[in-house]
Amino acid sequence: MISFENVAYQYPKARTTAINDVSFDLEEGSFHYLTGPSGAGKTTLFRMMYMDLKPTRGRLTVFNKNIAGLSADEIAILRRRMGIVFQDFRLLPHLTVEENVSLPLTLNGAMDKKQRDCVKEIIDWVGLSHKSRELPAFLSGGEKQRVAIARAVVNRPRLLIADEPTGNVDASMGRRIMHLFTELNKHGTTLLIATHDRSLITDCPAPSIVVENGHLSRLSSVA
Amino acid sequence: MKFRIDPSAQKALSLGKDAVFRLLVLMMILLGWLSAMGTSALFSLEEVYHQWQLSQKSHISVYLMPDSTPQQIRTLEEALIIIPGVHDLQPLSQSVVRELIAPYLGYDTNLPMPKILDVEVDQSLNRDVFDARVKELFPMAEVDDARAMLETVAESVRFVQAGAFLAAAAVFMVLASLVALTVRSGLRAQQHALNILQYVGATNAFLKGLILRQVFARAAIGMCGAIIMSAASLAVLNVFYAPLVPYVTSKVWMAAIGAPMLLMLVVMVAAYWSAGATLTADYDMNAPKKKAA
Repeated sequence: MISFENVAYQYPKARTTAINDVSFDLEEGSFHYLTGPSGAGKTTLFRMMYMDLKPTRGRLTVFNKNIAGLSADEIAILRRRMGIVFQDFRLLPHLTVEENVSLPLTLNGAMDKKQRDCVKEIIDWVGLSHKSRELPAFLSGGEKQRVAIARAVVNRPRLLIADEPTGNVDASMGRRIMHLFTELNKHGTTLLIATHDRSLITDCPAPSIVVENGHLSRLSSVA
Repeated sequence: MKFRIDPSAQKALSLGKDAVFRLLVLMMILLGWLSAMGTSALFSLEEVYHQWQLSQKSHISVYLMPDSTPQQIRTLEEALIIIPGVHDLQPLSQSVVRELIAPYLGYDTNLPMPKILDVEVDQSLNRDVFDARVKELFPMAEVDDARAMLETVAESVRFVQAGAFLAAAAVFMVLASLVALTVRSGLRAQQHALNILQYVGATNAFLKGLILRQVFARAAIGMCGAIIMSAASLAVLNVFYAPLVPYVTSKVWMAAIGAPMLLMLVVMVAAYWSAGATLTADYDMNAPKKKAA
């Protein structure tokens, strides 16, 4: 599904590489955590996975396509098969909760009733049906997090990558979110979650990709 | 395949939030009106010139010596009327001749007046044949030859028209540049929304569709405003400046309506190009990311 082969990335004008010689594979239907200290290169790896950055060296394939030669539209089409949860939520401030969540479904034209029902269902599932017409400015951090998650999963992605998805929610909501993720994973969605939360990894065990100083330090199965 | 864009998607990328983009309507009205007036003036000038040229071509004056006898004049009339292209001949009365020539004679009214023959012709007249026939019977006669003057005036009119065309081209270029800038400015202001739409899988074609719809909506309002203003301006000119009425033909009205429509086309092409260029630049993955406004 995603394959890093000796991938390195150096930001423009930076003196050192943000990640260096990273190689690993994410198999279809797998579930991994991405961990490591701050500044280790997790965000850079993340951005490369959703094709916001391309390697300055090495080869990165997403959905079995080398991203180096992809056009903007090919990248867009591949992104439709992904769900991305950003740490800073990236919600559109002038759209309501419902509109933000439905955004991935609007790319093929006007939504049909089934899709609208699906949006309502997912909003209900993250516990925000009473706020579906609110703007993000009137939501707490945890609520924004849930909207971001709802948007990422609304189109049943084949790959879900999430950056600290439970970082702003309470323990109970965190468990519900992880339950949703594991359910999606059971139905075939490949899952990669970046987290610092050890308890999350303990409660919901899965192999970890550990990054340190831009290098892949280990690929471990955690129990 | 569905072509209707969902209102949420349209709302997501709202270029109208940018103050510069909002100026598009005003720009379109002003430049549309300016180009409509310029094009109308161009067509009016063409009409003025055309009518003047026709009147110049349809009459020839033959100046005969003052001592020419009525018999000689009649002989000349008979010789000229049979030339193809000659419709009518009319000797001008001495009082009319005096009126025509008086400005050139000052107060000296005792000078003998020439005899003038007013000849009505059409475009099929061969001037060389006509002139040769006159010279044959009246070697001292002078025949009006407006050809040189017509050519000079024609050149001047063409020069003015070329200038006006260049001015129109400049207006179109200015508008195209302004539209490109406003679209770019609108997209910069919406960089955050644009990035999010790209992250959820919006293609460039989809984004261009969203952008062009908004440009079209505003430019169409501006175009209607420009057409209304242009039509009102022509109507006001017609009412308050009667000598202009014969020259405000249907072509002039069409120009007043057509110029803003043509400008609309320029706006859409410029917007398409600008949106494409901005989106392509934005997809340069390893380029430093622009900050949202």
